[in-house]
Order: sequence, then structure tokens, then C-alpha cells
Amino acid sequence: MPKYVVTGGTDGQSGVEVDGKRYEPGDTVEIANPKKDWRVEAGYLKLASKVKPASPAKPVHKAGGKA
Amino acid sequence: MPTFVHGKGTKVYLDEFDLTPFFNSADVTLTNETAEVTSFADSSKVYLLGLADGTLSMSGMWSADTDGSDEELQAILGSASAANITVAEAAGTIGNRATIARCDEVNYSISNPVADVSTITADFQGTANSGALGSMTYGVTGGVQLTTGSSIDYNALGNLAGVDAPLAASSSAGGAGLLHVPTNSVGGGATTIKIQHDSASDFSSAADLISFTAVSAATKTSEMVVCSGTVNRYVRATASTAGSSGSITFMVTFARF
Repeated sequence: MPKYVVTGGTDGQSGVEVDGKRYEPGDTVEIANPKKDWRVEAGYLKLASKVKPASPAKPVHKAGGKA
Repeated sequence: MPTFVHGKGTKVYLDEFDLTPFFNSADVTLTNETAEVTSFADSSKVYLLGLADGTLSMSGMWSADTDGSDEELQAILGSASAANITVAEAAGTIGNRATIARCDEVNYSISNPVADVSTITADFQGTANSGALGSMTYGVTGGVQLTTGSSIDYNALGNLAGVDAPLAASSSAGGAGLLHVPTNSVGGGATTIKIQHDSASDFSSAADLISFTAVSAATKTSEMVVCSGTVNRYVRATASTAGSSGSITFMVTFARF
């Protein structure tokens, strides 16, 4: 089954429920029939392969201080 | 035969307070201005539809109780923050109608007759200028009740019944959800309350439509949240908590724009 990432919707806070289990924004979930799932078209779910992985955070150095 | 409801089943919530015990009348007026564009070429008057408007007028008994009618109606008169008001008709059944309002209190009157009970009257002007709320299409509008307004134990929270109303269809212009939490004894963690929507009546493909700010332990609150875009046919309220004791009473209403 294709894997989808929960986007959070327009407010970034919207989770979804799949097979009675809750998934929060950022979670990955397998969708059995994505063509019939309205949440894909509505933007709540995005194909995992099309989601860029988050780049690792760079350490912040302040002048005269420690990282 | 039409189904009629008795006015005695009405409940009134104002911000984080259930003021039902203090009011005995709640009037809602929705209007829409028209601008006349009649010309010599017309044989009857012609109008253009203009701006929508809404007002509330409520009356009842004066009370000096803490969180009572006088304290709360005094407090919001002249407040820079508009009040969240729900007038729930035939309250207590999920799916029944409600008036959802974002209002400024514009009049508060107290009457003290020598031979009768002291009474109050409060008038409210709906306002769509809701600041951080975003695009509030209407200040006063009709919606549905997504909770019964009854107390729920912390360990019994979950998905409440879905509502297929009032359209029996999806809509595309967003909406507004309104939360009132008049009593909350949940301890040990916050309570999360959301409105979900789905194209399926069994909510097998539910997604969150509106997420209210987490309700801190033992805290009373009220919040209106506006959403945009598609609202699917079925909506419901859902709640969960990180708390480990107590109960919470909350009223959630939702209106499509």
C-alpha cells in the first residue's frame, strides 16, 4: 500500500483517522485506496515519496557565547 | 406534520459561562440590507441585496452570583474582545440547531420593580470583524449542536455522534466552530477538543476540521475558530484528555458559511 504523510491541512494541526487509529501531522500512514480517499485531494495526505525530508537543524552560534 | 420545539428547551452560553439559569428569553434577529435601484424604467421597486447583519436580545433575572448574569454581563459591556454566544434551540440533542454568534454587547439594562423580581435585558450586535479569527463571514449565523452539553468523565471522552445537517451535502465556503467549557474538573492534563469532518457517515476517513486550543486542567474557557474551504457532509466533535481524573462539560457548535 502506498504511504502518505499527514500534512496537517490548512492550519497545520489537522490529524486524520485510518482504520480507527489516529495519525497526527508528520506521521506516515498507509492508505489502501488513495484514489477514493477524499483526504488526498483535500490536501490532508501527501504521498510520502513527494515529501522532502526535513533538513537537519544547524547549530546556532551566538557571538561571544557558546552554541 | 412539522416538528415544533418548545422555547423552554433553549440553552444560552456566553463565553465560558452557561447562563441558561439566568435567562428566560433569547431573541435572534438576522437581516439582510437591500439598496433600492428603482428607476423610471421600472413599474415596481427593484433592490440589490446588500450586507447581512445579526443581533441578539436576551432577558431574564438579575443575580449577583459569582459567574452569574450581572457579573458577566457587566464584564463584557465595552470589552474590546467580542463575546462568543451560543443559543441552542431544543438543547441537549446532537444535531439540533443553534445560533452561533460573535457579538459586542451594546446594551445592558437592569429593572428593579418594587413588587417584582429584579430583571435584566442585554442586547448584542453581531460582528464579522473578528481580528485574529480571520474571515468570519457572518457575526450571527445558524449552525448545529455537536455535543449535548452534559458532563463527561475524563475516561469517557471520545468521538461523539456525527451530524448530517443542515445541508445533507458538503459545502465549500468554510465555517466556524464555537466551544464553551463552563465546568471542568479534569485534573492531571489538558483536554483536546476538535471538530472532524468526513464524506462517510461512519467517519471511517475522518480528518480534523477545527482544532480548538487545548483546554488546560480545571480551566473554563471559550473559543471560536474559523475554517475555510471544503467542509464535508458529516461533522462531529471529538475529545481526548491527558488528564487522569474529573469530568468536563463542553458545548460545541458548528456553522457552515
